Amino acid sequence: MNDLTSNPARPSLAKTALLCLPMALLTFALLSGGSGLQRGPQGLFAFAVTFIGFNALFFLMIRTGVTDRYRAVLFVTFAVAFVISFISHLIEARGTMALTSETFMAGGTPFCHMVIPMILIPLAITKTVIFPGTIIGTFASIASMLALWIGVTLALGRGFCGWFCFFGGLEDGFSRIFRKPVIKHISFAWRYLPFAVLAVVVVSAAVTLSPTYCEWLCPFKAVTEFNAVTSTLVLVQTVIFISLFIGLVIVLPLLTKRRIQCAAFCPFGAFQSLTNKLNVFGIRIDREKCIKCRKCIQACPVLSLDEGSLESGKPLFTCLKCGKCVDVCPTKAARFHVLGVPMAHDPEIVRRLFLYPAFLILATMAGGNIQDAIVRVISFVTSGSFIK
Amino acid sequence: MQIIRTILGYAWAAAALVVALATFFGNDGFSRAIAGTGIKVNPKFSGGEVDTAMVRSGYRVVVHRPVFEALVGRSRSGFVQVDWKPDSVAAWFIVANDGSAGAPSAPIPAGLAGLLGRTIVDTLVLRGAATRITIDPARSVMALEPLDAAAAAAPLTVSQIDWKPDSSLVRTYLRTGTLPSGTRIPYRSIYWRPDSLLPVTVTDTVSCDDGWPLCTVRLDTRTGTSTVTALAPCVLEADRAYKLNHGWAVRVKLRNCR
Repeated sequence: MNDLTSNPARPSLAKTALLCLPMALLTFALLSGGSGLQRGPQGLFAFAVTFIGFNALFFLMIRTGVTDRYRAVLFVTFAVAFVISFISHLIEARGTMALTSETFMAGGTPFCHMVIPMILIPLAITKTVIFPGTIIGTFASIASMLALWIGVTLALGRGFCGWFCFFGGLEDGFSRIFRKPVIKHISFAWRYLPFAVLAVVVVSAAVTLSPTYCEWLCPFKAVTEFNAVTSTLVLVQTVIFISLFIGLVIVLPLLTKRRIQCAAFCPFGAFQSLTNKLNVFGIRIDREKCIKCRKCIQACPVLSLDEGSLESGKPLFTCLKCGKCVDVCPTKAARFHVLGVPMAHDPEIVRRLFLYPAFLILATMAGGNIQDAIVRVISFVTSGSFIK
Repeated sequence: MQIIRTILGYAWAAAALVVALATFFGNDGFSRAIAGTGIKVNPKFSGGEVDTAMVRSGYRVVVHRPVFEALVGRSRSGFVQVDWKPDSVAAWFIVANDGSAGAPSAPIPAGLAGLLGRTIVDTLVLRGAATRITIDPARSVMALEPLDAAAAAAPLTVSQIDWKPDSSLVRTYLRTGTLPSGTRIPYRSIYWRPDSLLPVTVTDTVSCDDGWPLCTVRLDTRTGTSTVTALAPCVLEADRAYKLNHGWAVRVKLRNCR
């Protein structure tokens, strides 16, 4: 068999099962919360579906050597489940998706990772967090989300956006609906726009001591929470975020088959790219095996690969480590990589080393939301309401 | 050298799994460590540290320190926040949204302790007909039982909410529907609303930390409208009134005179 087109041999079923066993044990522990399985038949059903589904996907990842196809199934499901679960919780807790003055004054706004780049300068100078949340002890408290961000950043770097970010899953889902892109050519210059947005929101947030991106630009307010429209100013902000959501999260991903919000707008993604150096995992392209078919360039959801990447053997530092380029490469030139490890080492071992923390993070983040969403969907089917 | 780099690379990669596990299993500990660094929510959002608390008949007035937040130094404008908080939370009320005249609410014992056992809570008068509400936690249902033929024929419109037995808060959500009298619905979906114990209007004078009066604030707790009478040149106007979970807060805009 020609070496250039050879696929890594599939592990045997027994070896695959053995490789999946640690993940099964870990996901069981994390999904069940240690000992507290959701009570009631619906909760147990949701747990069983989630646990079996997750481990089936991980099994397929290990068995087939394919990463992105199965990651995307879980990632998109996570995003949809997050929206169902989060909005239902908001309606239960405060009766509306709109932020009320009670919520604002009580510091009851759930903290979101998108705020992190904006809080750092004020935090360093004033030792205060410019967000109407609670430091500790509530759902999505500031300290809890900061701890999650630090851990996931150390483990995955910019892979945060491909394996953790519940918002990215929405775009990922929309980008996969059409078989072929309607808009085929996108200037690579757009991939630098998030850094400009990052600079603007970081500076403006520090000057005004307000999370300006959340107030003015964040498209994901459309599926989480937003200020109640009580003035012309808030109306303008509302029109902006709804337009950005429709344009960047739905329409452009549909037409381009790319994650346009992540690639060309998201300041948090840009920030994560800067923190990526803390992380050991990456993607590399074996220049000897690469036949320059450009399939990876066409597939990359965030424009991190271009002709220069094929020459240099590595993508731009904005790479999400989603593994799509690895999956589509016909010669297996694109591969996961560990810093310091020569290319000659078995790429499948490196891929598995990456998959364990990455999948574990995705499964843990997704698990609670998916279980909750399943219970709510059952509730909707049986009682007509998502509200438990 | 390459061997060392390879070993270090693999070790770092393996450490990523340890980090991932620690991130989730140790999240509580890491959160406490972060909170232990002394970081706080910016006073612009929290309202600032409490300066004084004054006891009134049936409620308390909490005055926060003036906030002039800036990245460096103090800003030219700021605010002072005043909270009015009732001494205790009133009894909970079932609110019937049927538009009928009269008072359709029936008081429930405060603390909702009565919900922990099978309890006939009270009798609601809806559309002029008597209806008994029975709460049965064992079966998680609330029964609306008509007490006479007229009530049996009358549809009831109730606003529904969620009640978490493990929470001190009763959380509301917007769900209103018309139910045939006698319908059994989950008791956790009944609308409860706290009745504020604050007087209809409250008026208090706010002083700055050195004791000089800043302004007098008057708040109508039914409408949330507030008026500010300036007693010092640094007072600008009332910003807005905020409904709190229990009580009200008003922020008064200030000019930095220092």
